[in-house]
Amino acid sequence: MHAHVERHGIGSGGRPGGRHDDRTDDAGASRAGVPRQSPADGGHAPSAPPASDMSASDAASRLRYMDGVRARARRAVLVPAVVAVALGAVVAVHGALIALWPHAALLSIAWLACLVVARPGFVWQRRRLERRRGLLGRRRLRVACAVAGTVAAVGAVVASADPLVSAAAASVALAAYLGDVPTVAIAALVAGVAGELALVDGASRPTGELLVGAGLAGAGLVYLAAQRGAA
Amino acid sequence: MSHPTRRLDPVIHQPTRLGILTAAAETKRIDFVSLRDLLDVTDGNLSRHLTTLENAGYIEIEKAFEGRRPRTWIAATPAGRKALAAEIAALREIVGDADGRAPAAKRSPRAATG
Repeated sequence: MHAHVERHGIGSGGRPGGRHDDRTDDAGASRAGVPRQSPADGGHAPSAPPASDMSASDAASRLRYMDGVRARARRAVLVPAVVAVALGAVVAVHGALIALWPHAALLSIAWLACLVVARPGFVWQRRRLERRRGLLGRRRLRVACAVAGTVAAVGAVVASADPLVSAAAASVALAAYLGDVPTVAIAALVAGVAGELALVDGASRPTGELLVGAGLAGAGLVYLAAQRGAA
Repeated sequence: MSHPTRRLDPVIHQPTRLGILTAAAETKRIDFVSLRDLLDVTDGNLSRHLTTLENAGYIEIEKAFEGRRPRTWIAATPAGRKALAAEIAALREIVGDADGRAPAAKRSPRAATG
């Protein structure tokens, strides 16, 4: 952890009495978790005409560039593909458990209690990963995804659908949308809707949850593999 | 009301500084290396722009040591977030003004040319 913290400008010397060189930072090389800029993200920084000469197309190009930066920052913070894998695994394991021990209500309560108990561990792990990646996310992004999941779960209860499936699909879809990962967002929505429709058509709940869990985790894994391949 | 180009902030009008402030405003804190990778700029270029933004009071820079390794964290200040919001509003207004003028110009080319 921090052995020493101080505030001052860049280039004024990070080490007391010595020069601070960011290239000697603990991660001087590129950091894997941070998406690099690409033409699809709005390209490199646009040219800079004087403010008085700013045309509408210059302003539009500037706004597109900002959207690209914002999407990459959100993607690095929310890691939607990893969220898809994690929530997909949660849904699939829940489906497997209710297949083995068909006391759904009791199991759901026990499952939720386990998640609540394990939450401090999740938070600790998230903060550790954020520090390692060099990006600490704002709370409002995570809250937005959690609210989407909660609203979807309440909607599912009202519609007599599966709340776990709806919550997981909605959370992943919003995280992927905010992070500008449309393939994962669409896959999450398709998996969620297909799972709920299968349940309405008479499929058993364990089967539906296993399929949706596999769909979410699969979408996340395919995206991560594609990213690794591209890198 | 002044023309939106007059409301553009000269400090964050520069695209790299606009990118820095956008990324910093989107996160609680971001470190130097992540910011450099995110914006695809060189260390020296980024340092120069960070100093300008810090002098304007738009970002806070914190240098910390984790073990024996130095690490530079960047965070947007409330003034920086406000300046960014004003810049976005001005840019949108410039785009919106042009969008509003375009259909009128199509309807009456003579009116557009005077």
